[in-house]
Amino acid sequence: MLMMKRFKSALPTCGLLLALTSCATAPNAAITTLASAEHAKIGVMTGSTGEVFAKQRFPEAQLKSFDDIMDAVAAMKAGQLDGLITATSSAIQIGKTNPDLGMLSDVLTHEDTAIGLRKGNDQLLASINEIIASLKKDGTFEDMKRRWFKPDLSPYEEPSIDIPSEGEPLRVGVSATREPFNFVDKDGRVTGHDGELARIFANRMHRPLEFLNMKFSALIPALQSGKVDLIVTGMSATEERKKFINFSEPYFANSQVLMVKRSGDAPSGNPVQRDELSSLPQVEGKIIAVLSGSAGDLAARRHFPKANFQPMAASADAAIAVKTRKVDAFVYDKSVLLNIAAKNPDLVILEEPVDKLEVAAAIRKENTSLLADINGVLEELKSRGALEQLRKKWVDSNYTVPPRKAAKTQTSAKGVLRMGTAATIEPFSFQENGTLTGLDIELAEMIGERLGKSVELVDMNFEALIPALQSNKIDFALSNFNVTEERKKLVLFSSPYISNDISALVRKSSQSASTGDPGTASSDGHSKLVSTADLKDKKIGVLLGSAHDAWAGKNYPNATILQYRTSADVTLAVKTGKVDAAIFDEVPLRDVLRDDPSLGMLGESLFSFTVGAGFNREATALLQQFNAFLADIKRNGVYAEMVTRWIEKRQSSMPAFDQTKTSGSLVVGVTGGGAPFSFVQDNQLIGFDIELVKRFGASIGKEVRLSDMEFGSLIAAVATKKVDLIAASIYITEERKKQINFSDPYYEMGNRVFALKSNIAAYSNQTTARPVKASFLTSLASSFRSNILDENRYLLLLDGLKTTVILSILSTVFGTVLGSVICFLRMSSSPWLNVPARLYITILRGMPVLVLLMLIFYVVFASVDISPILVAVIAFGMNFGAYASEIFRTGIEGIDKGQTEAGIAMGFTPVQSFLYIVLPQTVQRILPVYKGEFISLVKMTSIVGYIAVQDLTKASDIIRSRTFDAFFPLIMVSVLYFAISWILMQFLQYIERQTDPKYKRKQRGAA
Amino acid sequence: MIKVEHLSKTFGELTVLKDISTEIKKGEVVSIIGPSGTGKSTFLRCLNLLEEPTNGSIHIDGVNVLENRADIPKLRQRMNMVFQSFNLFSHLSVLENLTLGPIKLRAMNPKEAASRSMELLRLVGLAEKANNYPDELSGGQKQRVAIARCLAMEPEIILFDEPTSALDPTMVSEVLSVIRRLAREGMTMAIVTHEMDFARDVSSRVFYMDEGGIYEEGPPQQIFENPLRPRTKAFIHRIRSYTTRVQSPDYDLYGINAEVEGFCEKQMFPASLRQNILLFVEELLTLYRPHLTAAQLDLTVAFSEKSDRLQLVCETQPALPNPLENEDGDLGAMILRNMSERVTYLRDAGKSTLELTLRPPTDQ
Repeated sequence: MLMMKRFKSALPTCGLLLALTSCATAPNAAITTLASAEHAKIGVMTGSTGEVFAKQRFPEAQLKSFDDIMDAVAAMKAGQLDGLITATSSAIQIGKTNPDLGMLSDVLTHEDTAIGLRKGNDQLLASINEIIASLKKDGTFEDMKRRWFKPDLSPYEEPSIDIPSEGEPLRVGVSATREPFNFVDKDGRVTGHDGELARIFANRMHRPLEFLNMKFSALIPALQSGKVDLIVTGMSATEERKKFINFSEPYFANSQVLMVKRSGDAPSGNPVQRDELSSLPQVEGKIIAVLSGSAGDLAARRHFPKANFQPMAASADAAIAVKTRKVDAFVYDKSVLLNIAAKNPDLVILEEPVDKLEVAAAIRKENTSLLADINGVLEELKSRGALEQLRKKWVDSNYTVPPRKAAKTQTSAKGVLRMGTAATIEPFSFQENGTLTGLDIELAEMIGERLGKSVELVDMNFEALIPALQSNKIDFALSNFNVTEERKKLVLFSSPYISNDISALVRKSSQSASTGDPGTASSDGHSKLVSTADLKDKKIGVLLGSAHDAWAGKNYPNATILQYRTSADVTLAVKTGKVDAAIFDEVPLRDVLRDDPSLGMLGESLFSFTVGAGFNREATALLQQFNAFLADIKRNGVYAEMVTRWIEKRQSSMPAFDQTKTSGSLVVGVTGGGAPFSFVQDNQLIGFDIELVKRFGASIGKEVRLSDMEFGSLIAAVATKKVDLIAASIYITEERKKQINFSDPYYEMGNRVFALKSNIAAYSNQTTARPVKASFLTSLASSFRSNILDENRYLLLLDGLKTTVILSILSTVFGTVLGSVICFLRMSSSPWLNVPARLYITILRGMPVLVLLMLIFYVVFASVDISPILVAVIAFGMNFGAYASEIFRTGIEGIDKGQTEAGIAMGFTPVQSFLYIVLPQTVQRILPVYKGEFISLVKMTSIVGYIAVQDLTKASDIIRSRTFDAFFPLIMVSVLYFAISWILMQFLQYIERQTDPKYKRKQRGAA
Repeated sequence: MIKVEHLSKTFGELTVLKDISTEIKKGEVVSIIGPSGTGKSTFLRCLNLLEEPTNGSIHIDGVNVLENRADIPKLRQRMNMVFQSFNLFSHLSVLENLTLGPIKLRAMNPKEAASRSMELLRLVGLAEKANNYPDELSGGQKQRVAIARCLAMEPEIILFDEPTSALDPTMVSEVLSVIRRLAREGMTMAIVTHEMDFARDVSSRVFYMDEGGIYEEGPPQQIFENPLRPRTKAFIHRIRSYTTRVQSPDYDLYGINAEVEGFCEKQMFPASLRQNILLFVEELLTLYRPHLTAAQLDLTVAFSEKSDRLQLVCETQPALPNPLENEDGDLGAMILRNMSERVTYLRDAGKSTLELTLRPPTDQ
């Protein structure tokens, strides 16, 4: 859990897994930043949190839902999609096999992965949670994560786990198409991270294991109906799902990211005209290339909040991007840029530096002795002028042929130092004739020499350096590491060995200066915020389900309120200008502001709330114990000391106190919301809240087990007794009191608005966040409301209905025309005509229409930007045509030859006699069969969801994936299909009657 | 009006028509008679190119049809056809069957077409059925509608392809009287028929077709009274005949009896004569039976109009001795000899023919 915490907090800032280069080759402009995805075609996984997010974040974008990630990837590769929102875990997996796809570094939403259990199955839940807790504790999860979530294609290692063969089997529902969570290995067994996890469960519970592999969307119904005991398949614990099933403690922190196509080397067909830049302020609002996670990245984002950022993988790519006008500037270390500028005469470095940073060696946190060693060496080198020399040689010389690094003195007895470096950063660390060279390399060797150790160089991705340090794979890293606050939290830095300017690389201006910033939205429409009242029509970020959410909704009815799942996301939203301001708790906010000078508070405290610990309504004894404990510490001064230490002095270390654990454990729900109440440091949750509950646990002699969850699920967790109490700076509100009991307040918290100091206006994002309804479905009426009315879901059905009807009619028309042509060919006496027709009929009738549909979409029209509806019409039409042509043929051949002869003898041409005599009789004969074929076509269209057409069936799938209620969506859709069939059938019946002489006679008789 | 020269037609290996040259003039009524399978219908269908002639030329009013294919639909409008199987358009009412052609092909306005069609229906006596559909009409009514449909196109010549063959005997006359009326009104017609009386009455000229060509042609008197060529003679003499082939001793006596009876009924023989014929057939078959393991027997019941006598002819292959001259004094043979006016027995290479001429019924 704690490991997960770190993973989570690391992601938004430096967790860049794959970076990408820019381009504009696809029919639609490539996505390089989240902002540029605004109008793109984006694929989402049906029912995922990414889908919900995308709807809010990209209201203008064309969203296409896919059931299966592989379909979505195929669509994207075929150019049908510009981007794809999926879980990081899947994205990594996709990236392995599809080097042309990459991830944007921005994390869209966080989600916890947990085990799904049937409601009421508390016993199993308890034992699962127990196992998860123990696995977290003994590092098994860490180990599993390392083995399963690897960035390359090397084979997975899986330990063998003994599973008993006797006893009642544990039935585990999986969807084994979710590598690396769940997949079927070459022996046909279900494996993966979660496969192993399920085996561990079976092992611990001494029960045999039975996997039930099914479609993802079928898992929850299967669980509810008791077909499986638990779901272990990398399922995210969303609020919607929680209504229907219980989730265990999360065991994996996942996130949704945007995947896009990269196409770095493809030249742009029609490059966008970009203005040349000549001074630093002009860079603002432009498109800036950065190396993801680099200091330049952070500096640029801080200094140019309005710019569009394009994360790149290598400085060379970024330089090309500047040259080819895909970006306007490249912000990076000046020393590197000097090199690039020297080789590219059309590029220049802007004089004023963007930022100044120091470069130092990075060392694992615990390894203070090595730090001391290295610092000692650096000190010595500095005093001898060796560092200055290095700088002159590598950085300032603008060499054309890389200088030779000093010869390395061989051998050393005192061991090996493993040094990590990313050899893509000339002149610091790069490959020359197959060997690593550069300033960092030479320096490393000098250090090794002086320490009497041989240095083993490990070339890895820049992003991997810090994790490698943390996991002790390398001892230190020299890789032009700029010293940043973020990084300081993760690793130790030596004293700086070179000081580095962060500069902007731009094209040499050819003539006139720029005339504003055409590429991005201007901030003209926004005035600076003066007081909190100015927020009334602005975009306000809040924590989902928090008191601020409710307060902002009430007090700023005209404002656009954007809900985020974690406080980190809220902060990020303010920093990236997605919201104008955000409301947050004052105390943790001060902490944030201290770290980030670009943010400032606005006005006075809006309102204040008392904070208390939450308890289940039945746990009154525990509540009383807590209140007594609270009174106690207030009386003996411990409380005052805590306030001083955490809140006033901002210390960040837990004091030592006696933690006796005698009588069981106490599960406490917390949220790593932020300092000083609850935050992660050194892989440990610490803070005011944490200390409070730990002290409380100690006072009643129980071991405190922390359960870190999303803020939004805290109340539900305590209400469902998943945790014993919650202590997460929760405000005591009337509404919440209805669900849980609160202890006496232990803190009073003010709430403040904060915004970027520069108070910039953001991109025009008009999203209105919809409040998440928390109603429980108790009756049919509420089921109807939830499935049909909520979020205007009936509109989804109506749209689907329209699509289905259009699709059916167009396919029938096209199929009938095609069928007539095929029939004509088939009946021709020339083998040149009838053999192809026979072949067509045989092949098409022998092919599942779904396969045909996918073939046409993913193969035939792979590189054509074609509407999926059109593809569906073609596929269904082709299929229908094959059947129709045979229907027509039997109809025509069933007409007596004498009819044609009589017509011809009368003087009609063969064509005329077909039209006037044979055809009317044929129509009447074939209509009954044709009608049947048509109805089956209408129903057949229900598979178009496979190519991301949102038809009626897909609409119901989407609704079901949100509500997990099978009844209403399915009944509704059945009724609608029936209605379509019936209405269209009436039309055909009308034609049938019109062509039936007997019917006409009857009518005449009646008249 | 229609001039045919060296017309021939083959279906694959089979030659149906060979080298036919003739001419049909305006106002003529030509009957085409002859045994089945001699190409009468094919000849008729070649005239309006429903069958493509293999060779030869067809001139209509001097235009070579085979070389001016674009005009064929136009030419067909001038020479409509009546089929054995009526071929009424089953999806259209009687009136619509008549108006379809004029409206679509001659751009006649629907009202006029309807009123003219009603007149034609009155002509064939079916005005009251105008709004019925074909499947509600009897065979005779259907064929009269088909004739009216032809007339609606105002053709210059009508080709009749066995117009009464598919009809019950009771309905033959209603169709024939319509055709007779057209003949009286001077319509040019070519009629393939098996109705000899009708052919004799209505025709201005008769083609007797045999051996894939027009074997003999001439005015009805010549063909029916004094045919010049042997096959014509034989055909005319045996126009009213019934033939069955017996190839094994296990013949179907009741089946043969039923067919003979049917023949007698059609010829409207008196019941006594019918009994005699059945007796003859049964006795002859009994006599021949021992030989039938090795031989085949063609038994023909024929009414010769010329001699006005009924004949029974037994042809056997290979030749068998005369069964009536059995030395044992067989009872059956005696009866047959007594009841016959004349018995002739011929025998030549591989074939023997026994011909019995019945006494006229009055003699009994």
